[in-house]
Amino acid sequence: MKTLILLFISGIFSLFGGIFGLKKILPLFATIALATALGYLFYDSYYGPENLRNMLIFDNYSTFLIAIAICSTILITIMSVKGFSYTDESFGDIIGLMFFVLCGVVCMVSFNNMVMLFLGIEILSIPLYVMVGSNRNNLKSNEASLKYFIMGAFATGFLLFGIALIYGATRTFDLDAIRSLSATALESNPAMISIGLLFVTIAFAFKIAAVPFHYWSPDVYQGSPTLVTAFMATVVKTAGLGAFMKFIIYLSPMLSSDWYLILAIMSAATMLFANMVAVMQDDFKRMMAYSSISHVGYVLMALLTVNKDTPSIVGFYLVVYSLATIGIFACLLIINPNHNKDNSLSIFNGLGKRSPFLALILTVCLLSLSGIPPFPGFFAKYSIFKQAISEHLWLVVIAICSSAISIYYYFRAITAMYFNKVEAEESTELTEKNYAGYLVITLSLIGLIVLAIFPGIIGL
Amino acid sequence: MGVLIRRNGIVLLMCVELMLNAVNLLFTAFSTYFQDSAGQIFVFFIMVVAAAEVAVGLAILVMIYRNTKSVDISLLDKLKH
Repeated sequence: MKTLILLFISGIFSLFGGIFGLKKILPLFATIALATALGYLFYDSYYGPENLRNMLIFDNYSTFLIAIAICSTILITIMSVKGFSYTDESFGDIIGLMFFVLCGVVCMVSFNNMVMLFLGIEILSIPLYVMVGSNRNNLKSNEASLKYFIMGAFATGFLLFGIALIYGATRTFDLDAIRSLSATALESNPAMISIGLLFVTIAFAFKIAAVPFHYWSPDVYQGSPTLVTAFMATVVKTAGLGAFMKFIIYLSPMLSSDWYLILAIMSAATMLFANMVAVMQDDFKRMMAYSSISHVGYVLMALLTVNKDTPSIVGFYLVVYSLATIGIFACLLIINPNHNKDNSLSIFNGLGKRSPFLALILTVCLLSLSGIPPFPGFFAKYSIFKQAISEHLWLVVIAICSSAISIYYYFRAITAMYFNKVEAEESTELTEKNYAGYLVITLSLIGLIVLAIFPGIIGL
Repeated sequence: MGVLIRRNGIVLLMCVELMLNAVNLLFTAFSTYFQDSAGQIFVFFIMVVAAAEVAVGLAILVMIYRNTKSVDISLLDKLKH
């Protein structure tokens, strides 16, 4: 609770700080505020789960997800020192909006009532529409923002319709009450409740960009500023998947085998389709968008079998994924700070010679995402496969095939770094020293190494 | 459905509003039927969120209008596969 209040107040403070010319200290302020929020989070969770009138419940599980989101935001805030150079006058607004998105994340992952789920998703989405369009004079950014807005509004409609149908069948918004009433409701109103659940699932699929509801995602990732893309790929994905996991864990007695079949098919389609399309992409940000869609597929596979290990498996996967993704986007931001240039794969040409350190980190992050054994991504995928293999063998086979495909496109970037020749006009040195960016990639590299050596460090 | 077929940005926003209002109607209908006020309270939340959402949506449209001098969303195809 204190975390939520602190985040909200810091958000307002950043908005005013942007107006009154305190831009220089804003990243420092934001980092300190986020670290304090993290401290309060652990301090509160030390005294056991906190229950706010059955609306929000801060248990171990939601504390952990909020912690992932806040840590990712700290890294992105450090990146933002150089990242928003194109929009100096609205820098404070963007930091403020980031805080408001985090408020939404807190509501989303700790919801115990459908009202809070809806409000959390909206508090998360509305500032994001603005952040995506924050590069006002760039038509691509405008288009990405409008697309995200329309898709988001459409998903909201689905979510609300689903909640309304569940309310109609059970007469309550409270998750505990819905779960205890579900047996009687399923007998009296089977169609209403299953259609309601399906609609809510579709809304979640829109938010986390699972196939076939992923069409907005590559466009939005490509069009928005790199920093916002990094924010969406980590914090927003974590929140969406976390809320979806909580929804499934709470309502698992209501979910029929047909529903699980739909989820399994969605997961298979997401992994296969996203990895195959990613192979064909030339734009690096689009490729990363498809890669993040495919990772959603793996997490959905973990959500098919709900037991007491599921939260820690998914949590570990999300931490590894977030760290690697932030590392990659930080490297991209250092290499190509100018947002109007295109981010085709050729910008990596000869990076192994130009900046061996950057190339090394980018390679580690990409290999971790693809799941090559010494890197933590492997352990994350391995635990998901191990859990799913007893019940869904066919799905694990598809997942392994699609990981094999994914190695191809991750290696396209790596070969571009080490083997492609530098063309004349691209041989410009990385002139501006971006120390904040180097700090972020070093931190994410350290995080990945620690997770590779001690995979058991994260337990719920 | 209007969200999927319309090409005018303003009409599109109106279609989104219609969708949310349909849900509002469903909530109020259920809550009168059950004699339970929770559904009606939820309607207030939806109205607030819908207002915020449309404010942002209109701002995005204004931003696009400044760049393209039009609210026709079929002009927006710069992001291609």
